[in-house]
Formats: sequence, structure tokens, C-alpha cells
Amino acid sequence: MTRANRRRAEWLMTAPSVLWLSMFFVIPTAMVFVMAFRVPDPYGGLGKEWGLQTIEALWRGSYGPVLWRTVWMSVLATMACLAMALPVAYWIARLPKSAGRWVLAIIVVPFWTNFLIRIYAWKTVLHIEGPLKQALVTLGVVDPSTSLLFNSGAVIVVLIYNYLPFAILPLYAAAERFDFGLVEAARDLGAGRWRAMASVFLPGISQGLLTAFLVTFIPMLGSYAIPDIVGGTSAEMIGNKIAQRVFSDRNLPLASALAAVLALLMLLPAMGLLWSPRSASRRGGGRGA
Amino acid sequence: MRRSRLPLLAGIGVLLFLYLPMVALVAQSFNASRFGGRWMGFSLKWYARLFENRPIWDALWNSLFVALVGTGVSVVLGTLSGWAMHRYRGGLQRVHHSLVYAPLVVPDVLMGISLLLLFVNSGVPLGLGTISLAHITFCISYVAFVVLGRLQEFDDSVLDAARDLGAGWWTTFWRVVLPMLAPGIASGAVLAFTLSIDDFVITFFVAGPGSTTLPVHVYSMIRHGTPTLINALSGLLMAVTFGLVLLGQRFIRQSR
Amino acid sequence: MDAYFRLDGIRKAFGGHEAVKGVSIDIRRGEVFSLLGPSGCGKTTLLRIAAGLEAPDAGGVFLDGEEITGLPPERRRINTVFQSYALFPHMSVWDNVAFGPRVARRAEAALRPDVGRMLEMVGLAGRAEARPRQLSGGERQRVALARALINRPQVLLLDEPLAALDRKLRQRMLLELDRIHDEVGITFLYVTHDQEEAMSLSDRIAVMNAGRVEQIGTPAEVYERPASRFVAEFIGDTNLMEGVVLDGAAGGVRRLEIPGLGEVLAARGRDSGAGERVLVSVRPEKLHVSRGSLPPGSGRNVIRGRVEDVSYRGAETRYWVRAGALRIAVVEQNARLQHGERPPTWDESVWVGWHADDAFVIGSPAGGETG
Ligand SMILES: Nc1ncnc2c1ncn2[C@@H]1O[C@H](COP(=O)(O)OP(=O)(O)OP(=O)(O)O)[C@@H](O)[C@H]1O
Ligand SMILES: [Mg+2]
Repeated sequence: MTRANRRRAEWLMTAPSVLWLSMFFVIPTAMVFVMAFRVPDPYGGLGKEWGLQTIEALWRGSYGPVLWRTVWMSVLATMACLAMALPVAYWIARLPKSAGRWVLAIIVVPFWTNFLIRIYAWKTVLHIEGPLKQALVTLGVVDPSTSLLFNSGAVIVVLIYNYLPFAILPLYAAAERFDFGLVEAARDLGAGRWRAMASVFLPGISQGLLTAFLVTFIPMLGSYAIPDIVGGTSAEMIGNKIAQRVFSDRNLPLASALAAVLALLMLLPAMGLLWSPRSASRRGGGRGA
Repeated sequence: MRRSRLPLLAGIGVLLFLYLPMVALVAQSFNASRFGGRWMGFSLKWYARLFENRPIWDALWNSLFVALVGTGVSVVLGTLSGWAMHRYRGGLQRVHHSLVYAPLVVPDVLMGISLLLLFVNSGVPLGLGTISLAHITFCISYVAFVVLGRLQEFDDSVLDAARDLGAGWWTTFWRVVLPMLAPGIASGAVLAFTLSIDDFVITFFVAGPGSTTLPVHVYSMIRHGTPTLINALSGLLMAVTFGLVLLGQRFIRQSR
Repeated sequence: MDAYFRLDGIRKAFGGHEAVKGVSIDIRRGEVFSLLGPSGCGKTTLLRIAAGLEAPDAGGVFLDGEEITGLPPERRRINTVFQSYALFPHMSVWDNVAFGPRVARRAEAALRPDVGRMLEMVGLAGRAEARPRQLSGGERQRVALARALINRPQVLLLDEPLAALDRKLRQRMLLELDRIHDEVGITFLYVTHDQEEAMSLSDRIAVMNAGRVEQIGTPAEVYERPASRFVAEFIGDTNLMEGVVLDGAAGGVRRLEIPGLGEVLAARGRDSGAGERVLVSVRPEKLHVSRGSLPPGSGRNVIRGRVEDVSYRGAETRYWVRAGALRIAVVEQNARLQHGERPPTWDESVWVGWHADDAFVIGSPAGGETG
């Protein structure tokens, strides 16, 4: 096959997805930034004129606390996810192969049920008359009048619940490739159990840790349905603000300005993602995610 | 060297954590109580109510329509894309790869609002059409990477072998490439279908009047409806998904 | 000696890296011709050019007097047994073998007996329904062979077909390949980095190094008369001694001065003038070691040394003898030992001798690009 032919075949196969994603992903994402400079239409939607009104509204709207809450809740929930996923990934990786596959399947199966129903299940559990509340009241841990729902605690628990498997899968993938002989070697050389874990196992699965962090943290930043269903006004995240601007006051420019802020927020860890494969190959480490 | 018990305990703890809410929800769906909560005896009446509820069935129909369109188109585009990423190297493919990768890391809210802006700006009426366009967009990347993953398990020399044995490009494609890719394409399609049926956030942003999908309907039930019906719906959906997962497992085992 | 399959001045570069640097080979009809060389020397690249899977940057491919350089692989009557076998994983053994005839639009009824006969020939008649991944390495190799041979190619290319097999199986498959070659009489172009394979199977061998052909000859020729230092070292073991030519009678026995060893005689190899610095190669099995003195006879070189290492290997014993700055390897057949005779052992002083006919002059120590 001649070089020109090969080139044409490559274009034929690449063009459809590239064109589609340019049209429905790149252009819309760019619009998020551009539309922040439109003025809102008083009747809802996008105004015709350009101006800085929306940016001013963004300042005046005091979104600072929401932004801050979005970040700290996501960080907390991500850390909790990693802390729970790490021993589980380790456990599965050390099981016999077939048993490990079964456990993995059992972990993933609940996630084939609808996303909203997984959230709603927690509403049932945390409900004022739900099983958890009743148990805690019986044990005398909480007062009958406290609500387990509609606070940042509930949001964090449900965030953890929904993203835990996404943390377990990459950690397991990394742990499964890990040579556990190294841990034995470290202990043979006198390292205690925890020391061996920290100095051999964790560095060995660092690529998996990074992936697990990113695939939980970034979507958490953009959470909308979870705080909307189990959080109250005191636990709103930036996703809720975007949705409110779209659905209650139809202020699309302000919504896109907020979305632009969210995009910039998640760009920080996304940089890490772009940077990581290169840094990994420099260390001669594992493969990218 | 004694193994630590911590990983085992953590594993069991996590499994309980993952399953308890589901169990609680299913239990509630058989609770005769009108408001949920306290146990008032076993009943199937909420399930019976479910079947009389027209809007749920309409929403299900919409969801299936969107999922079929979304899966169909994204499978074709995604397969081509995965194939191109596997087959070629160079600048174009680096751009292509980043472009296909990016939608996987962008949060749903962002994708939803950006697509809404596109549609509003270009005057496209919101409805099942815009939902389908959105679903195709986020499914392409998943299909492409599933297909790419499959391709990486192949020995590419079979393509040379086919040509060496006298097959032209077209024959090679139909007789070798496509049959070898079929399992990958099938898993990509299953994934796309599942993601499409499950999507709420993006759909919510680009839905219009009369285009309520099942997740959007579930959302409005959660917000405004009676808990009993949602409990029953959840129970039913869980039964269906678990059934499908089991069926899929058996199918996979047989085809091995 | 007419060429049936000819590669003429083939060059191929990938990016900036030249994988094949001007290779010309003439292969006769019905011959088994081997390309032998270390990993990465361009064997596969050359084979892929022969098959039409890769286009050469320069040079031509000729088959039976016709130029086929530009012909796509599907239109060449050349088939390949790939290094990784490249069996179609989604097809049964039968369908794999039937692939070629089916693509050529032969009727199902007509191709059935052919496929059956091929499977019989490679001893897989009972496994027609199996999938490639259910087969052992040796069986896969046979399927690949049958799948290529059924098309009655004019030339069969084999890319390290035995590399993935264990030693025992490899030896059995070598005999098998030999038998099949006799049966079908097709020209084989066989690629390997294993000298034993090449030696036992081929009519002729081209020894390749870094994209070039170093020597073409029969197995005995390349072994007994290596054309370069690379060939001498790559094929079998050898002792290389650096020295200066004292008198270089063309074609006759040359006298050389090896520093630390004294004067030695070499009867073969490159012509070289007096005063020239050269390398002399002697194969270990051509050397003899003895505790008693080996009298300097006609053409016999004898030197004195001390045994540094002895390793007993069953059929033979290998000695390393220190003589001056040189460490000389010697292989003695144990069968040659007289009953009751005690072989030399470690740290004993010994004589090492060889015949001038077994010593080769192979060029200057700087050795050009082959060093
Ligand atoms: N498609 C390619 N792109 C870039 N470089 C290549 C390509 N094919 C081969 N090369 C390079 O050309 C050189 C020769 O490769 P080739 O595969 O012909 O070696 P070989 O002799 O068959 O080795 P082996 O015994 O390991 O199979 C190597 O350095 C290889 O890296
Ligand atoms: Mg090779």
C-alpha cells in the first residue's frame, strides 16, 4: 500500500469521531467559557449582547463558600475512598485469581443499578424513621430529633458510596501487577509490616493510587445529584448552583460562568493526569491508566 | 509470616457497606406502610401500583429509544476510532487520543451545561433528539477504549497473514478483523447501552418537554412523588439488572 | 547456477535507522536457504520485503525471472510462516488451513480433500475442529505450516518457526520440516538466529550482521572457512589469536608470530603480506591437549600452557588453557580417551597442538565494521 493510500485510510477512520467530538464536545466546552461574557436574557436564556455583567454577578453572588465546600467535601470523600479501597484492593490481589474475580464482580454489581436509586437507597437508610437512625437512637448515640439527612455528612457518605468502586478498580489493577515478593524481601530485611507497606507496596502501586485519586476526585467536584437529593441547602456544591441557574432562573450566562469556574477547578488535578504518564516513564514505572 | 487480618476485615466491611443500602431499599419495597419507615407488614401492593403507572412506562420507552440510538451510532464511531488509534501512530492519532480521552474525565454537569449551551445557541429544540446526540457523544469514548483494549490483546501479524494468504483489504476486514473484534464491539455496545440507560445528569440538562427518560422520571419521583412507588420501582429495576448481569455471566462463560 | 528467487540490493530504513543495508541473495529452485544472524540484524525485515508486506527503499525482488517488487502480498505466490504463527484465533484449525483456498474462491468441495491432506501431512488430522488457543506450541506451528503450504507457493518463507518451541520439540520439528521439504519440493527461505537449526536444515546459509550479509555458503563452508571475524565468532566457538605475518606465501602455509606464543603456522584463509597484523581462528575441537609432549610434526603447531579450567560435559570435556596472554578453549571428545588414561586436570602443565590446516587467517584485528 502506498503512503498516500495509508494516509487516506487513516483519515477515513479517524475523521468521524474527531468531527463528532469537535462538534459536540470541543465547541460546547469552549462555549462554556465564551457564554460567560454574554448578558442574561430577562426572559430566561442567553441574551444577545456581550458584557461583563455576568462576571460581576459571579463576584456579587458570593459563591466563595460553595466553592470552598465543594473542594473540602470532595477532598475528604476522596481520601476516605482511598483509605477504604486500599486494604480491599490489597485483599483481592492476594486472593487466588478466580476468587479475586468473583469478589471484584460482587463489588461492581450494585453499580449496575441506577445511579439515582443508589442515592435514594441512602435516603431510605438515613431517613428519620430509617434503620440506621433507629439503631443509633436505641444505642443512645443520637437524639431522636437529629436528622441524619440533609447535611454535609450525608453528602460525604453517599459520595464515598458512589465512587468507592472507581477507587478500588485501579488500585486492584495496580496491586495485581505488583510483585508481593518485594514485601517479603523488605520484611526479610527487617522492615516491620507497616514499614514494608509504606516503603515498598505504596510506591509500587503509585500509578494506581494516582488514577484512583483522579477518577474519584474529579467527578466528585462536579457532583450534582448527590448533594441535591441527600444534602440540604447547607451542603450545596457548585454543581447545584449551576443547575439552579439553569433550571430555576434560566440565567444561562451565569450558569456557564459557574461551569467555567468548575472547569478551571478540575483542570488542576487534570494537569496531574497529563503529567503523570511522562513522570512514570521517567522513573521507569508502571503503565499509564 | 502471619498475614494481617486487616485486609479481610476491610473487605467484608466494604461489601456490607455496598450492599446494606440496597437490602434496606428492597426490604422497604415490601413494606405495607404508606410512608415507608416503620415496618407495617409484608405487601406486594406497591409493585401492583407500579404496573398501573403510565408515565413510568412512557419514560422507559423513551429511555430505550435513546439507548438504542445512542448505542447504535456510538458503536460505529467508537469502533472506527479505536481501530484508528490502534493501527496508526503519529501526530493525528495523538490529537485523536486526547480528544477521545477528554470526555471521560469531564464531570457530567459540565458536559450537560456545555451541550445545553450548544443546543440553545444553535436553536435546536430540546427533546429526544438532543438527548440522543448527547448520549452518542459520551458513549463514543467508552466504546473506543473498550475496542482499543481488545485490539491490544491481538497479534497484529494475523493481518499480515491474511494478506500473505491472498486476501485483499476488504476480505481481510470482513473475514479477519470484524470477527476478531466482535466480542470487543459487543462489550462496548453493552457498556454504551448501560451508560445511556443510566444517565441522569446530562440528560436532565438537555431534555425538553415530553422527553422524560426513566432516570429523569425517577428523579422527579424522588423529589416530589411518594416513596412507596420509588421503592417498588427500585426493587424491580434491581431485579432486572441483577437478572441481566447473571444472564450476561452465563453467556460469557458459555462463549469461552 | 541460476537464481530462482532473487533479492537484489535491498535497502530499508525505518525512520533514521537502517535495518537492511544493501542485501543481495540468489536462491535456487527447491533449495532450503537460511538467513542466519543475531537478533535485530534485519532478518524479519528482509523476509517481509520478500513477502511484499514491506516495500524496500531500494533494490528489487525477482521470482522466476519476473520482477515482483511492487506486487502486493496477496498477489505473490509466496507464503509465510510467521514468527508468532499468526493463526486466526476465531477460526478452527480447519478454517485456518482453508483460508487461502477460500480467499482464492476455490469451491468448498474442491478444497476439502486438499485441507484434509495437508492436515494429515502435518499430523493434525484429528484436531481439525480445535481452536488455535487449544493447541500446543508445536501443533500451532504445524497449522501455520499447513496453512501456508496448501496454497502451493513458489517460495515458502519461514520466520524463526521453531523459536517458541522447547529444545526436544525443536529437534523433532527440524526433522519434520526436512521431511516436508523433501515431500513438497518447494523453495524454503528460512530465517533463524540459531546456528544449529540453520546448519542442519539448509543447503546454503547467508550469515547476516547489522543489516548486511557477511558470508554466503554451505553450512560446511561458513563453519570451516569463515569469511570474517563476525562469522567465525557467531557460528560455533573459536579461538582468535592476534599476530603478525612473518612470510605470506600466497595459497600456501603462512608463518605467523603470535606474541607470547611464538611462531605458529596457518594454512588457510585470507592472503596477507609479510608484516601485516592479522587474526588467526582455530575451532576448539580442532585443538588437542596432552600432558605428554606433542612433537612438532609437519604443519603441527604446539604450544605450552597451564590448565585453568576443566568442565566435563559427558560426551566431551572442555579445557581452558592459559598460554601467555591468551586463554585457549579446547574441546576433547571423551571417546578418544584410552582406557585407564588420565585426562589433564586443573593447574597441570600441558601441551596444546593443532594442525596448520585448521588455522585460519581472517583479516586484521581492527576488523572493519565486523568487530
Ligand atoms: N516497523 C518498524 N519500525 C521501526 N523499526 C523497525 C520496524 N521493523 C523493524 N525495525 C527495526 O529494524 C531492525 C531489524 O529488525 P528485524 O525485525 O528485521 O530484526 P530480526 O533480525 O528479525 O530480529 P529478531 O531475531 O529479533 O526477530 C531492528 O533494529 C528493528 O528495531
Ligand atoms: Mg525477526
